[in-house]
Amino acid sequence: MTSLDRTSFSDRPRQPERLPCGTRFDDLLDQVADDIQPADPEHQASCPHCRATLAELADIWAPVHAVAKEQTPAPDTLTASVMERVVAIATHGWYAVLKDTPGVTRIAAWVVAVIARRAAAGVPGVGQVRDRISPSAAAIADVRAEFDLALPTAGQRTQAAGIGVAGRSVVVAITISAEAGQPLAAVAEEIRKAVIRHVRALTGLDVIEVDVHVADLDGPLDLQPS
Amino acid sequence: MQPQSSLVSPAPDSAEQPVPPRLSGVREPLSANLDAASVDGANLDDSYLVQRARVGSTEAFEVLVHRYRDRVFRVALRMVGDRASAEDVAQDALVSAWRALPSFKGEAQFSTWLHRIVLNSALNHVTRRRQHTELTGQEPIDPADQPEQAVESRHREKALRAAISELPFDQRAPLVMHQFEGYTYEQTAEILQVNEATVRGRISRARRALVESMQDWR
Repeated sequence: MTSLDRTSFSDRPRQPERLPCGTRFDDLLDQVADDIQPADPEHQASCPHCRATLAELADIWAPVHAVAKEQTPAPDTLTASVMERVVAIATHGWYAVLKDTPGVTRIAAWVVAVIARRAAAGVPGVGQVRDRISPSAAAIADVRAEFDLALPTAGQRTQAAGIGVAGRSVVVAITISAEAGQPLAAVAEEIRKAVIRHVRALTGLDVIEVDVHVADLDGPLDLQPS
Repeated sequence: MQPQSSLVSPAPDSAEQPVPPRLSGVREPLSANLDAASVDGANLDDSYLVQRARVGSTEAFEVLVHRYRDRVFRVALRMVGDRASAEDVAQDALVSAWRALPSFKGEAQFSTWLHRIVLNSALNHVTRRRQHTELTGQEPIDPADQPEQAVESRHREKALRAAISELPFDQRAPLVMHQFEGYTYEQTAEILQVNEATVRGRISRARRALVESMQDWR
């Protein structure tokens, strides 16, 4: 047989169940594979059958130990690929609102986004509510396949990109510019109250978190010396 | 700036507006620097991140992906045998984990649960592939792979990977988790949701098959 031939399992000589000394072959194999101490070290130290078998197994098993030690980092693109799909699912999946009535009401994430954006825009001190980076159309392909959706428009994708949904729970992330001179912490708190109130009233969903990112200030900032 | 619109009638006193109750264990304050944590994730434990991800935080899930991607890919690679397929399996598994998070009850560790998903994803992949290409275990080896003295060990490792790929899936999975990923027999049993004796038996049969296969390459 040349080394290029592959012998089928059935053609290979089977290892014996027990060595002539009575030791189980599988016990020696486990000892080598798990790198553990022998159950009977005195016997093994003097038994030619065990020593020969252990030597052979150590040689055969060496590639296994080598492969086990290999560091195999994931491709650099893996995280980005996964997160693009996850963001698409989170922002474009549907979620049930009412399951306790005949039928199920489903609301698209971008609908929640529209409500949240308009609620935030109505808070005094808020300048503009900014768009968020949108996942690509390709990334939401499997969302479409799963839910039999029409392809959302670019605008819908952009609007929904700051919305995370899971069941009845919603996490909203809103990026705004604020009017210069307004106390930002107070503006952010009012945004949270407004978003929670409006989304809950209009959809029945629970907004459990509203992250407010103040990205810019509108208008002149008059800083008086103290 | 004046309010632009009102989608619901404002209450007389907005301070009295009902606020959704906090979900138990969910609304801990966000880490002050979640973005930085997403780079290494060192200061956020799995249970916190899982709770955040369960309620829709893609940022928290990204930290988990970053933390487990190498392990997930490595298990996938050892289960399916080639990098391209392993990347597909890893990606599908991690996306499946995101979808399944709402049903994750925390009864097992996140890593245990995630590995279970990876193995299922690998099984689906292997099943699909087998429908297209039935492996006989006697496929010819590329002449370029002929053993040479200088590349003997690498060649044996390649033969090992081929032998692992020939193992039945129910033997391959426990072997990969125990022998290559370092899980104990007990932990492997928990991942595979079978008892420990079953795991030991399957690993034993897998080891024997590998030894008999690898003898040809010595």
